[in-house]
Amino acid sequence: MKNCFNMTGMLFLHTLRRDWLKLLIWAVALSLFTGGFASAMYEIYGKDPAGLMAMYETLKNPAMIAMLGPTSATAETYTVGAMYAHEMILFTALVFAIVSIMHVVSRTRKEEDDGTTELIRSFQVGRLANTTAVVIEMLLLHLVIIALSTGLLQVQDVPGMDFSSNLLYSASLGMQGFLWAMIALIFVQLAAGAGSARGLSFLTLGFFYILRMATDMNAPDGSWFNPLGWSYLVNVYVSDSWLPIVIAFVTSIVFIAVSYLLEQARDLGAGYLPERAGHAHAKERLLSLPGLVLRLQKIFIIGWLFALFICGAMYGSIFGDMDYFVSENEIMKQMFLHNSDYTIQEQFMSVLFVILSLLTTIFIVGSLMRLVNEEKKGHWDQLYATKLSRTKFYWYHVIMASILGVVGQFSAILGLYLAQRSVMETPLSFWEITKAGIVWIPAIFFFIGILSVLIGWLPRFTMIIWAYLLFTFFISYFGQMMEIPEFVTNLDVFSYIPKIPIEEWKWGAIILIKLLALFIIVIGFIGYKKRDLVSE
Amino acid sequence: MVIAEIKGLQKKYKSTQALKNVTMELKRGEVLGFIGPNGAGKSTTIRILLGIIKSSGGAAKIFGKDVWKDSIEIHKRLAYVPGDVNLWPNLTGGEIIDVFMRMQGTKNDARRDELIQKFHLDPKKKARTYSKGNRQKVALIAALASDAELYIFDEPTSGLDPLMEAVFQEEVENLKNQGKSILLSSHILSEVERLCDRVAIIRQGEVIETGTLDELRHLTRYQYKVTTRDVPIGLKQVSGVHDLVINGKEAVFQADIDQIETILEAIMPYHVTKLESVPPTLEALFMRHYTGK
Repeated sequence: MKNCFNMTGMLFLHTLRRDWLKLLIWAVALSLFTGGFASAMYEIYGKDPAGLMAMYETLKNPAMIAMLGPTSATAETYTVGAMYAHEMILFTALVFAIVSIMHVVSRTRKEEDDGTTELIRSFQVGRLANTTAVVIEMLLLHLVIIALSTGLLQVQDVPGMDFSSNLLYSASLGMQGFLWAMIALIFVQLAAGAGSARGLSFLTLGFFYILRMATDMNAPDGSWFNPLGWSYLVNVYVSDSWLPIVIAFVTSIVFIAVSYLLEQARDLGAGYLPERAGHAHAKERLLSLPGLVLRLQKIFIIGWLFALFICGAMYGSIFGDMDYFVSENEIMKQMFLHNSDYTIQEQFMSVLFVILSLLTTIFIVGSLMRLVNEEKKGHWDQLYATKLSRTKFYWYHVIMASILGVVGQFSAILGLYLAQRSVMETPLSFWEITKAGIVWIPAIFFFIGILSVLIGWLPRFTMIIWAYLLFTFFISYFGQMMEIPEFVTNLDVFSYIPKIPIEEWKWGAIILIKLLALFIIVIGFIGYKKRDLVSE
Repeated sequence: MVIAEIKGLQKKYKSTQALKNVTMELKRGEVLGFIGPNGAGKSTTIRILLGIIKSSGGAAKIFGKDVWKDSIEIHKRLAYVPGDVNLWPNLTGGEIIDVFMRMQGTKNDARRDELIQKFHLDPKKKARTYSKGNRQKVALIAALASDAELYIFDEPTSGLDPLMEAVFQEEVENLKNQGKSILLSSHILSEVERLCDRVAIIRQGEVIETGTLDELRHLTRYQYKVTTRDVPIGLKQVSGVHDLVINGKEAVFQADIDQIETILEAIMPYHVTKLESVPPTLEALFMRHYTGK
């Protein structure tokens, strides 16, 4: 072990210098995510005991427990804090875990794959120095997040949420972030490369998430053997227990020790798990441009279709309790019962599809963005040098994104339909839900159009599309609550889409937006055809 | 004094034996050329020497210390440039050079700036904008500006243009004049021929020849081209003559180095008017070792 940690300090500072901005943004974003919604929750549900009870009943629904985890609170102890933690803690833990896994793998195994580590190791740098630097970095990041999040919760000063509980809540999530970073570190040693280290870490995360669904419903004690379970088992704002944090911390230390041992005993660039040999030859379906493009995005597409389905199902699963929930809650009543011609579910669904369509839009923007991102990375260079024309490149990507937009939307529709059918006495028909969903497709296509123009004419500024997406999200989400001038709202393409079923289907607007989208796609094509290729 | 001593080095992976027997040594003040085709084991050997991967047999010592156990001690006196240089995209070349030099343990800003100038590197650009050659320059500048005793270069010029290659060769000669030791793995045989005192040839995980260029040449044949007044028919019977082509009064053949005397005696009677002998190039040596011709 002699000298294994040589220059750890220097490497740590070097890592910080590279990451400080990213880490700062994360620390702020994650703290906001953990602690930012407390007073809003209080305003909506907490002030009114009936509202709190309605939430209690809703979240006791098995589908909700499966998704959000259980609460140890009873009807009497279900305070705002208990509800807040119940709703937030498991999901936030997932977000923390994902961020940690991504960062740890990119700073360890990714650098090893890239060959950077080799160069670093040729200096008087210890074998475990880089790993240790990353461990320290993650520890520091999560300590900062715990401090920020606790502070944020304190500042909001929600009745019933006191300092010690706020600290425990934040610490529980910070601990999750650190713990999953250390779990990722083990897979970094075991796997044969960054890709599989990341994949295995996420697989483990998914496995434990599903495992706790089973244990939470059937054998709650079993969740004590689940790293994700240690997040909500602190029973924060109910009976405040630090024990799961102690367990998680000790486990993290063990994981660090294990990963040190594994790293000591392996060669740089090698892993312990065998890597499945790839194909020696390309299959026929890979040998066309559409086949290649589809293959490059395979994981991305499957992941998104699955995520959209789950999101649809999540919303669908609360349809059953909505009547009860809304009738018990004054604020909810005001929000939803302003149109008594339609049921609560129908009104909710009309709003719901704004969110689901935005998610589909993120999906296809990500897909079409590949056209220019791969270009910037130089991956297309060799293909452009063949007989493949730019026309083909452009239209394959645009057409694929359009098809994915439709498929993605249907994935969400299907999830929503199946979930609500299982929880409602008189479920909505598939056609009713489909109508509410597909009406948004022209707006989704419009995003393809804008991105096409950017790709064709301003390839270096394609990021603008995310700003527009954010703008649309903001207007759709908060537009009704705030006084926003009409000319601003008019810039949001989503505002032209009728909210089915509570608004009437408007063929005019729908066709017009579609034509407009097609028109700007063609404009983008003209630019793409004659512009220089760009690189980073 | 021996700087690096490698004896019977082996490296096994699950199903393949990457290194079977690598034996060579590098003396103080010497430039050792390390040549061999792709996949022969050059980089594997170098990685073992750096303590980045662990050998599965044999022994390797640098400065008399074990390359795996005492790697940190060794690295304090060594500088390395990999063949494939990957840098952090969001740092500038200048920043990265400083980081590398700090890690190596040298501070010599004047030398650094001189090299940046010589290699025409723009140190203010982010590494993501660099071409392969420029990334290589970053690693080269950091290594050459370092005050080390041993320099290990793994195909350092594969991305450089001929001008920069010349700069590199000049710098290596400077290091050599200062008595530094250098291990140079390369594909560019003319470079090896010019810079190296000795050469080690590796094939399929085994070092099959080591020695000075002259020594290696002795193992092979010189090419002779003679013009005689009479057709030198008699050469056909002389042992030690190979690949003989007689074209009128001109004959071209390969001659075994230890048979030169007999061969020359055999041609004398045909009245030699012109005699050329060409020592084999490193390329010819290389080709002979790999293709058997």
